[in-house]
Amino acid sequence: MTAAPLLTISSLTKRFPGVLALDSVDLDVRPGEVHALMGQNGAGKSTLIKILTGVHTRDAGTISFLSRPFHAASPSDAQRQGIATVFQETSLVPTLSVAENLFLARPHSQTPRAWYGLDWSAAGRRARELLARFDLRNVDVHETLGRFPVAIQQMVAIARAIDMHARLLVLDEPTSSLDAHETARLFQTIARLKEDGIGIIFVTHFLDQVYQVSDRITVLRNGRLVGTFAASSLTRLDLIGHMLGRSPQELEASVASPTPRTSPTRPRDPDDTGELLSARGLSRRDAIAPFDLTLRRAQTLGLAGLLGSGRTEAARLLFGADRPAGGSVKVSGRPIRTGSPRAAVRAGMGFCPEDRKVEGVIPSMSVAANIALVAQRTGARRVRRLGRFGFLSRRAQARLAEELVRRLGIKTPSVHQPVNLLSGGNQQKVLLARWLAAGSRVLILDEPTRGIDVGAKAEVERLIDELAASGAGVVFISAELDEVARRCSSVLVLRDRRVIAELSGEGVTEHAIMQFIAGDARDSTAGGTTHAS
Amino acid sequence: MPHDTPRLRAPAPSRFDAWRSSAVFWPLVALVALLLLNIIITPNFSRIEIRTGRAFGSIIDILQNGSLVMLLSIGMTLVIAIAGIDLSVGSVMALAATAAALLITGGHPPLWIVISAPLALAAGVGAFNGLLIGRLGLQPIVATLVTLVAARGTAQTLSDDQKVRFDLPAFQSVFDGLLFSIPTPILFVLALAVVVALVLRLTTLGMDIEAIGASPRAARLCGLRVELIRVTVYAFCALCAGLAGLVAAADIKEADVASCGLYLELDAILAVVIGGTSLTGGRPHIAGSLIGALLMQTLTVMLQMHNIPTEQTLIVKAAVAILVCLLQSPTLKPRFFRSPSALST
Amino acid sequence: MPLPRRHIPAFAGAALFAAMFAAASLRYDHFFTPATFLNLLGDNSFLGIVAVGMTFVILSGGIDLSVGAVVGLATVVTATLITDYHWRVAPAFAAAIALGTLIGAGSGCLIHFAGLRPFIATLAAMFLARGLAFILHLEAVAIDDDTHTRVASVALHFAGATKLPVTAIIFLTTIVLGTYVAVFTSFGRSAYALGGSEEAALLMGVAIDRAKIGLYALSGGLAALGGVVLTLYAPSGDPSAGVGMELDAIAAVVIGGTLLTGGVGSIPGTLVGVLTTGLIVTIVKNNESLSAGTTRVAIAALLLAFVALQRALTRLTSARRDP
Repeated sequence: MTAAPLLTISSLTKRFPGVLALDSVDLDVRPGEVHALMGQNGAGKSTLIKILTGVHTRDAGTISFLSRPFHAASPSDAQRQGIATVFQETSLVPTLSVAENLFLARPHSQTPRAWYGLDWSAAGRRARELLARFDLRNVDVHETLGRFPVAIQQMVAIARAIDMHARLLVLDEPTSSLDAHETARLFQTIARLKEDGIGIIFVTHFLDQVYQVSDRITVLRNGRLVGTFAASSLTRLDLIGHMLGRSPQELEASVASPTPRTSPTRPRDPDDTGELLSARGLSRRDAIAPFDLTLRRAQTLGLAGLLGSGRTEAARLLFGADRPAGGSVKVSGRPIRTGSPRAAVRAGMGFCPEDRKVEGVIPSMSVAANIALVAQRTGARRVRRLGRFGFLSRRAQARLAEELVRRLGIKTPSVHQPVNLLSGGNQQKVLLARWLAAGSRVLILDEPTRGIDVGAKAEVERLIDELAASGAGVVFISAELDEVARRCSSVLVLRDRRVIAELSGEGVTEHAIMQFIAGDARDSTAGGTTHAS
Repeated sequence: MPHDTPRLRAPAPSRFDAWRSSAVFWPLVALVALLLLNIIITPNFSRIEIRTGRAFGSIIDILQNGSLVMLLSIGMTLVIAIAGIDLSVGSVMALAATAAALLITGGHPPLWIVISAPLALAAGVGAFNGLLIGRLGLQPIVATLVTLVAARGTAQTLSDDQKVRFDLPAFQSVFDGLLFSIPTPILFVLALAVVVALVLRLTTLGMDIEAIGASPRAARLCGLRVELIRVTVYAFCALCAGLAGLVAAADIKEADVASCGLYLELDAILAVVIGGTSLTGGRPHIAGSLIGALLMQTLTVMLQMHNIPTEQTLIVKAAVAILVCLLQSPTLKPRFFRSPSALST
Repeated sequence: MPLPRRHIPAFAGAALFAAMFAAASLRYDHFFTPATFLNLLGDNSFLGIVAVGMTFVILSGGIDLSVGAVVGLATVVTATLITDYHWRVAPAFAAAIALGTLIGAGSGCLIHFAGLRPFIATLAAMFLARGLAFILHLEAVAIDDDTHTRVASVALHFAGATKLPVTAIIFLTTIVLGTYVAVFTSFGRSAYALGGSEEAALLMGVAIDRAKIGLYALSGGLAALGGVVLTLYAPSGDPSAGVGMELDAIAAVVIGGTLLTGGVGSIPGTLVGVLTTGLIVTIVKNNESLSAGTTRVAIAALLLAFVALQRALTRLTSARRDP
């Protein structure tokens, strides 16, 4: 591992309107090395990869590849220069055959040709030879690519890249839709590529896999480099700590000290009466294994786990945003139709989705309209005076919106402002206001504090506490474990698309959650129960 | 962002919200400019006289001849607002006209049946469109292209490919009569536009449509009945087309299967696009669509008065369509509307 | 690389054609003759040529609504140049085809550079083509030219009175060349790639701009060729020729097994689709009790049935993909 680096990135900086996506980041990859790139949402991983592959241009910094300055104008340009990317799904055309995908849009000299044009029998022959090198001997190269499992598709994409003389391979979350067997197979391939001296940047959310294949790990947080570590000398707990921005020592200390226990914002023992929301055996194929959940009145329940752990999928199933494969949901003891947001809304549920710009706010509509959108039809008592029989007065709508804008401190020149002109934090508050106006008693909030500034964050958090205090039930997802630990009276911990533990009461500590996520919780912490998996 | 939308007044709550919105503003300016131009260059353009109880003049012509497209554009506005498209309106016109004509000549049912049965048939075709798109997952263009062909084909089959002449004075007086010296089609347009605009403003439907068009996934998560609203909107659009069909038939006392409503879907789409309703869905601008329809009609009348055949005005329509689409184009718009400072960077 | 499984709709189309042909042969006397089949090719040649261009566009995930108008324009341009300006036949044909190609390329540019959606760009092109046709001639104009008549009467004669007219020869040539382009050229494969996944095609380095503009230009050019062939079939230039042909072409393409969403399909499939829609017309013509309207309804219904079949098959495939 002392060879000259294949790729050297130094002081890479990229600014998007309002965001510093990458702030002077350094990274180097050696030949025959698997280099894991880790970080939370918004850490800057995808920006870095997109610059490397020519999707974005950099604002500052240098990249040198094979000891030469490197600049890619497009993904195919990067590929020509020897840096290939394999994305989770979109790398290849699913409706074309395997052979076609291997030889489509290749430089003229690499395309199998005969005097009459493209030579498909030669392409088939070459495709079989190529795939044989990757132990894919039983693949019919003339079969449509989309008919093969994702693992094979990714292997084909890797084969294409290698055949195009790639020296550096970027694997962007390649395993997130693979099962254990397929992942093992992919890792065999990776091992072989290492032997051939190919450098690999590996992006994933699965810690086990990182340790299985990586030589070194680089952690990014909020666009900054946290550090590059040898995989063998970095503990899981340390890794998670780096990703989340908390040092484990700090956490140990906070566990030892009794002070956080008295935090008034955290309802200790909510009344055992009033089961607001209960789910039994809710599951969805390739998304989340069957899980149970019970939410009581005035309770804030956390779903904790890394990205891709199934926490978002679980939240979506609860609200009916996705159709579950099985299971049932009850609101206040009454069963509701699963897979129907309409049924959920009518039963008094509200949902702030992870992607608030696409699934949350309606960007072109005004603040007032966004807030009143649900309230006008749910017939919440406090709103019914707005209008009857579906008729609603614009003035009443504006009044309702103004009241909530004041109460939530939404910063907007007027309630008639289109919501996409507001900052992310204020958009999030508008979403919360929508469900407050509708009188929702069960709120499912998927990363409500992500990507918003500190002030707005504190206000959103305060609002969640107020909601719980007023008797509502909140299902809270956050990537920031301290937030979860501070706020929630019980926490479901997820890993690898299943609920692995339920912590409650005294057991809810950041340290305990982290240990379960890291997968090295040997003893179930006080008050915690480990699920058999 | 603030520099590309001309603020006519402060963003305060206003009864005339739709009017002051920039989407309607520019088409209106264009219409007024075109009318002024015509008053100057086209003799007798602005004269309106009342002879034998009927108003005459170019302006009345524009309104009356434009009434078909205006009727269509009211329904089309809603369809486009939910990010759809309806190519079948012209054929639905022919179908409704034929149905009415056959009812009149076939038996002698009461007037309300002659009117309501074709309208119901039209609405049924529209609902079918909505179901094809929602249930079968067809792209709107394809689904409505199928009904475009099928509806006219059905009309041809029903009428044996013949023009159906009819004579029912009561029917004519409803769809081609006069009320207060104003031709009834103009009143239909006005009434329908006012009703739709009121419903959009006063009920949740307006917001629902806008929400579904702007962000169907977010609308679904708000618990909106996306399917039901889609079917309703397509049915309503076809209903407008049916009404236009009856007006067209009453005008010539005949249902002409081959030519009734031919190509009018394109005029209607163009009117809506000119009127500022985005083809990618979003807020419906009924007033804008009417202005768009009038703009096109004024252009046609103007070219006609300068002895240019109607068929050739298609070129002008094509030019207008391309221009408007380019102005609204997601990739080109930023270049046109950048402030000077942004351009210099 | 034709593969059986992704061509189920095309086979369904072929089976339907065979069944209909058999049924019609039983029902009508003198139907089951080579002449019927050859006439079918000749009568639908212009539609078929238009459908080949449409196949490429639909394969790439787009749609071209301007083809009918371009057909009309091409007939008028041909007639005007030959009759009014006394051009020779060959340059007149070439000019018509060049104009159609230009209009198609224009649509392609609007789609690629301005980001317009294919249907609105080609709708504008449709207005433009019709308007141009009407500017040249408001009414149909006859083509009266010896060379033109001679070209139109070229035919391959078989035993007996059966012959393959020049229109059918051009149609079959277009099918063969179209198949070649689709299968053996990078340009053809890029149409499949675009329709399968534009994002992936871009990542893999397919020249999307060249492919898109080229595809619409090809569709426009073939539509114009269809118009030229139409003048050989009926020697006149009619500005309202080809009204509604866009749907017939789309129907033929879809019945021929090309997925409306793009990415899957074939040119020979389109031949089957054209013959199937043509057969419906022939059968209706043979049956006194059916009106022309019935043809339209039948074609629309058939299109719908095939789209539904495609949906079902797509669902089935994707269901099998994640077990």
